[in-house]
Amino acid sequence: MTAPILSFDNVAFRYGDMPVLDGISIDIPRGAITCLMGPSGCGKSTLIAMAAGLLTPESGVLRRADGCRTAPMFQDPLLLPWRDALSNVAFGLKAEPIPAAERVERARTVLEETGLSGAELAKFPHQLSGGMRQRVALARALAVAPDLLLLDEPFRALDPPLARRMHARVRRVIEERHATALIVTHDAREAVRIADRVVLLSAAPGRIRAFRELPDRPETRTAAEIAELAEELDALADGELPVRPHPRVGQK
Amino acid sequence: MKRLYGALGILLLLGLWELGHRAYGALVLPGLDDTARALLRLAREGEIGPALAATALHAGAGWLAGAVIGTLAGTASGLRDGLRRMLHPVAIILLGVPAIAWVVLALLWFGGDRAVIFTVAIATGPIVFAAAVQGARSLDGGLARMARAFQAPPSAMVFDVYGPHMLGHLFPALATGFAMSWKVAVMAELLSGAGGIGDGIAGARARVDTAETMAWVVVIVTALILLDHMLLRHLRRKLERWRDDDGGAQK
Repeated sequence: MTAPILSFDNVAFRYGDMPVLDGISIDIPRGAITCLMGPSGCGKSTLIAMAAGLLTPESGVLRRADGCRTAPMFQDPLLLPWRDALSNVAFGLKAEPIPAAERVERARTVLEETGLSGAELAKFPHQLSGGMRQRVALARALAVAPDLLLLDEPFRALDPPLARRMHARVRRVIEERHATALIVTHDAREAVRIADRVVLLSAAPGRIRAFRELPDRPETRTAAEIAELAEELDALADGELPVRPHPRVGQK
Repeated sequence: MKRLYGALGILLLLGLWELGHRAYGALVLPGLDDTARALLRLAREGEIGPALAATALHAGAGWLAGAVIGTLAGTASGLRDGLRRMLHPVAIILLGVPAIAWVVLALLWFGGDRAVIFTVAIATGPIVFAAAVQGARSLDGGLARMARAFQAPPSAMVFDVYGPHMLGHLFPALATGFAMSWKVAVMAELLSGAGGIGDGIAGARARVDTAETMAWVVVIVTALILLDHMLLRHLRRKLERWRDDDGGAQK
């Protein structure tokens, strides 16, 4: 078995006096999509920020594989208001030693793959709808060709058909590049449609409440299976089902 | 239509000027024709070009010094509370000192060109300082976080994240300071005899030549209007294109 791309070992974090995460131990394996679920304020976004290197655990250890290139997408799209959609996506590539023209070309390709093209590429963030802004932010993360995609509620503002297209797009990226994704969502159906495994966090301070390795590949799951698995996840989240522990997941 | 109204406004002003001339006489307010003749004479004698160049140099150098110092000090103060608390009252005091007082002090301290440049810098710097403080204090931490997460190099942080944000705050202050720098430069030149349009006005005043004084006023106002149309508006449109609903496409 290959080493995990990301590993949290008994990680805790607090904002001031308020503990947000406590005793988080989890391995994120390569080439899979892991969905993080849990009630608001349980520290899902904090976990993503730590994985992106923006926050340091208060205690415990966070290990990222050597040379791992991460690309985040935050709950708020955080687009540069003075740059058009194309330049916002190209901005994500500024760390790479490639010519500006190539940056723009890659940005254009990824934006077109996320369904934005033509005049929309030249629009500034305030001229785009919420869903469009979210797709620009997703395109910025995908353009980087990361080893580890960190997506915080990436499909929240999208209508269901578009969200499903974006699920497929993210899955294709993960499979083609043998990349990894850690995705925050509140929607159990969405998690089942896209993920290989789901981690459920408890209310703050967030602890790992349950872990579920989902059967088969997401694209092969039927509507009935999706509904059944989503129901099971909701029941786990609500504490209506017993929690099955995992050797590397849960409180130590 | 906008231009028609603008032209009507200017015609109204010229009409009032002519009325004032007829009511109070040429010594108080010269007629339009006298002013035009004085202007032509100044142009023929080659006085306008060098005077305009000297004033531009004084205003430009002073504005640049005020802009650089104001931006650096303001940005640092916006980022450091202690520094802001220390420099804020200083900026208020500097802003409160009348420009004419600075001219007198600068003449005593430096004299000549340097007095004019100093006066312009000290009059415009605090305005830029205040804008830079606001700009630095309102920097969007979220955007900086995003840029760090994408490992943006320092040049990208400056030109894509912090620079455009700061410019949004600084540009109005820099533009105001730029217009102000010409007026302050003329005033300082008038008292210092350092050349330029102010010196021309001082000479005309000494000869009680009101028509020439008005001719110099026409020169400075025309220069400012041209600069505004040819430079500032163009820059403003370019810099603020992202704020427009149509992205500036119609402009």
